[in-house]
Amino acid sequence: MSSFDPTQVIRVPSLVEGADIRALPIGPEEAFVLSRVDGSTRESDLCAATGLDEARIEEILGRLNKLGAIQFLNEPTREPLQPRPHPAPTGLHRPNRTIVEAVKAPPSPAQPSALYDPSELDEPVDLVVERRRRILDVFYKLDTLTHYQIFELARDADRKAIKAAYFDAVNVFHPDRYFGKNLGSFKSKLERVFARITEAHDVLTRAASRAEYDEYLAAQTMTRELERAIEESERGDQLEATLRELQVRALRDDGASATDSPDLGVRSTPEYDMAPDPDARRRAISRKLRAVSRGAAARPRAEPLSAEEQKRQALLSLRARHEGRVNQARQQQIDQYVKMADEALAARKFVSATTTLRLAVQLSGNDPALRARLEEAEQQAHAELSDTYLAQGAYEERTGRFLDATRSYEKAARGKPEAKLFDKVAQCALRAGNELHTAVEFGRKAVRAEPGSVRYRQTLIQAYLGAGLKSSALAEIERIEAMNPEGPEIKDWLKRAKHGEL
Amino acid sequence: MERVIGIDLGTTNSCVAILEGDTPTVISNRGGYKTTPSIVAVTEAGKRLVGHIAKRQSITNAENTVYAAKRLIGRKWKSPQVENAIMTCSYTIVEGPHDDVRLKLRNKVFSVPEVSSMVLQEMKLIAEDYLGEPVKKAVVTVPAYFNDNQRQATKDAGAIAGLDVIRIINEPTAAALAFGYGKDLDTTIAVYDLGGGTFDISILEIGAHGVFKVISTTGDTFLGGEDFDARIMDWLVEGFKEETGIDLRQDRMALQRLRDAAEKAKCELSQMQETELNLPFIISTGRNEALHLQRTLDRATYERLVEDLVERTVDICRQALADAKLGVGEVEDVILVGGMTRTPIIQEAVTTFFQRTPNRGVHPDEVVALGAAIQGAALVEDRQEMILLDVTPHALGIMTFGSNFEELIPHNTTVPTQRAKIFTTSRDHQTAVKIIVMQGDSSKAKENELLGEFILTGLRRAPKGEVEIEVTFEINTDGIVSVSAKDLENGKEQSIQVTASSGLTPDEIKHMLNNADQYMVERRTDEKFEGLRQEADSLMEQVEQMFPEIERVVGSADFGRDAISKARAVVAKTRTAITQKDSVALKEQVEQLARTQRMFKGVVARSE
Repeated sequence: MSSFDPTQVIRVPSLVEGADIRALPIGPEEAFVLSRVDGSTRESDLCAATGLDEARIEEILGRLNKLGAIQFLNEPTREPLQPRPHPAPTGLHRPNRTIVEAVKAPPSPAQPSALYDPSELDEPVDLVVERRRRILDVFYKLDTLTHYQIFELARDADRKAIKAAYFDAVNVFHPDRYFGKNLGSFKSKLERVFARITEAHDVLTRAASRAEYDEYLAAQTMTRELERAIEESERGDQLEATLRELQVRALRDDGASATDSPDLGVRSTPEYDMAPDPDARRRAISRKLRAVSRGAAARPRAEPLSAEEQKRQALLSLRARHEGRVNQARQQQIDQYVKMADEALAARKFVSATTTLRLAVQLSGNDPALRARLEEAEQQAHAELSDTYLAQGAYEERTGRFLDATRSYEKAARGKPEAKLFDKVAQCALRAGNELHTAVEFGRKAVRAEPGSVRYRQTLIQAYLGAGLKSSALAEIERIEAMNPEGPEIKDWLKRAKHGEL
Repeated sequence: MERVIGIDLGTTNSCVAILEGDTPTVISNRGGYKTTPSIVAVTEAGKRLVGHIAKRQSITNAENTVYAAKRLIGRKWKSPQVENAIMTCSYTIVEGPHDDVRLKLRNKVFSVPEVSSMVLQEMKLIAEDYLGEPVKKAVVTVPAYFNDNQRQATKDAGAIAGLDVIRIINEPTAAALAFGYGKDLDTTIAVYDLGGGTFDISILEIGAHGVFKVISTTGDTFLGGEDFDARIMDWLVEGFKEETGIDLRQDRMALQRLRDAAEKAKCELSQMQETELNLPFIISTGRNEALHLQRTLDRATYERLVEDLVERTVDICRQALADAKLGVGEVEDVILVGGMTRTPIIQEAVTTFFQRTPNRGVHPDEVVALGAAIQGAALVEDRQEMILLDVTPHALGIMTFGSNFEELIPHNTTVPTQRAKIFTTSRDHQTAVKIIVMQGDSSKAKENELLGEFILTGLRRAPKGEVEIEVTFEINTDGIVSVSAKDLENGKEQSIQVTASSGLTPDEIKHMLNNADQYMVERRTDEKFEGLRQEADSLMEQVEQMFPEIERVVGSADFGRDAISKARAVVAKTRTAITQKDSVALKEQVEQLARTQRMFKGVVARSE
């Protein structure tokens, strides 16, 4: 498995045992493909074995799969399932995320999931193995599960269901259930799990805190999806998928009228069929698209032709027709995207508007008019998201997660570059402890954005002091003094700041 | 299987219970009472008295009789509560070696846990008498609002009494356990617990699997039945002063009589509309004439005297509900705990506040011990399905720069729990940081209770604020607090288990445990000796009564004179054995006496 190229879709179809092939509503081409399916020939190899092109094979296999005749040994996946030996540390919770991905694999009851070292189950404690496993399974997911997931509850579970789930969980995870028994390292693990389920219970059973948490989760899901969508559309994944789909559709339409040239598909687009990576394929497709429109305009009127030439012409016209269909389909797709974007904008869903517009821009080969619309939508999306990040930040700040709050406010400030938000970032960064550089950076931004504010300068001074930048702090104190602020409190504050008593 | 007893160590009375099968049962003491006064005294002969017997002699031996030791347990010498006790208590309170409190009784100094251990030991004996087997394990209750030092001191008292206190639980929580045990409830209740010295209110939720979850708890360790007594005493003292110009507070014996009378009057007013306080010869005027105190107190006057105390408890109830984020209507049952809740004005106040009649199904004096016994059984017996989720009554945190208190674990947090926070250095080039662990609810560190401290060293020399230290607090299921501090730069870590201080060192506890053991041996020997002595006394009396008759019958014969002189020798030896407290010799002489008595009887019978 480890030899898989994670970017390539590789599937190995195999026959479903006991399926009655003769009863399937399929044609000769599909039956031909089916006859070549043996459980070891890969999808790409089937192209060579049948002489059909990849798209057609994919379509046929899809249909056969739907009919229950075949199954795929390896479902398409972007990543191999087993945890990598050295997961790239891309974020704070990165290791845990790897763990969760691994968990999504169908759990095999005989084997512990790859969350933890299975030898942890062997610790000599007075707990049955099933209980140990249950404890470890939850323990190693504590940071990634939502309050709902930890109780295996749906988001709309009512208060009673939450209470019941909590009491059930208490009965399993409270250390007193095992009083006087040797629990080894499981005791502190139980205590951690217990504290977490209690937190989840306390948050979810109070209407106000639950609403707040739900809002937070929704916002988090939304922003995460968006971040991923943007990332993907920037990588061209979705464009790639769209183009493939367009091509498949065009080929299918061609196929109906081109039964006399069965070899058409194989040679028609060798460049992008063979291109190993999606980017190259995408380039090949767009090259083709451009070439077609130019070629059509430049072609001279035809003379009477030889048989050879006639066949060539027929092929050309067939190809032109095919490409015309692709173009037509593309234009239709662009129009559809624009329409979707318009609808999204009307519904104030700036995020999906941005994503669809970006696809339209790319499909259109960077049409300037579309580009302008995209930029406008992006601006609105940022402003819109800013509020969501702001709310997230506020929740995180309230629940004492200052590091998360710093990050959220930072993102909010990206959408709305206002002094108030810069100051928020700085304040949370100060309280997060670990983020003094961020505190100083954003403290400065806030002061720059609104030089007349004493409050923002105070934050900056605290950041300077925290970061040990005493002279910068003193300079800032002098600046405030020069502003001659009113009130005894601020004077006292400045005095203490000067003595480093903050 | 080892039995676990539940002990309600109260301010004025204590109670012991056990789970018999599935029935929680209170064990009566030798006198047949279900509760035993938490009173300890030392007699002139150096004899230790506990319970009713100590209470009976408290007036004549006021200076050597300790009551309400619970008010002093785990307290610092310099606390206002101790200062107040020094002013009002009839026994002598002295400063201990660790800023703690000691009590002086007959020139011997006792620590407070030691005194409490005598009560616990008495409860242990009551249980052992009943069960006919030694008891080693106990669950002991404390007021919910006790801090960790007070809890630790209570635990130490258990250790001195030879008990392994497997869990300390809160009194109102225990009451809730007893209320909900075996009922398969799904409800929210409030426990109003006004004891002799403390007031607690807890809001709990009872759910599936016998889970009892405390939602909030709050209270006042300076508010209890004794404050109500004190109001009556004040009223008596003021009245007497107006009448005679004499301040009864100056006389300790008078004070003790006043206290007893006040308590009695308070109890009577729960039943009657008025009561008479009659204390003849309360004090001598110095002109060789004694004055009497005689007054009538009616319920209305009494209620006026204590009105503000009742109102204070209601305010605390309001706070508990706010902490629990519940409305009054969401509480489905109210349980009253503590003898004070028999007072009509309190029942009225509770009914008015919670808008429902309090539950009358529990016995206010016994319910706490029953709950403790239930918890003990639930812990050690697998078949008992019951889990208690209690909360921290006070916030835990550390002292930060400028003597501020930085909270890490807020009050009403369900335990076990863990919390962490990042702190930075407060001075330039600071290479060590002292972590001072505190408990309390004030933002000013000095107003909170110090639990322990440790030093994290080896920090990088850097301008202040640059080095970051992560402080983690952890409270485990047994209520033990662990604090660790980690230098985030170099990963260096230092941690302590915060052993709250009872004011005693482990050595002292060991020493006291030995003393207590020795005392028990002596006490058992004493009891045995006492039995022998009584037997000897009665035999000697009978033998001596028969001497003239025997002399008349057989005095002329040699064997007769011989027998008589032997009998006289036995009596003399018995007397010596008694004065020397030699129980081995006494036992021997008792047998001799019995033989002599039988022989004399035979002689007399034959002669007739």
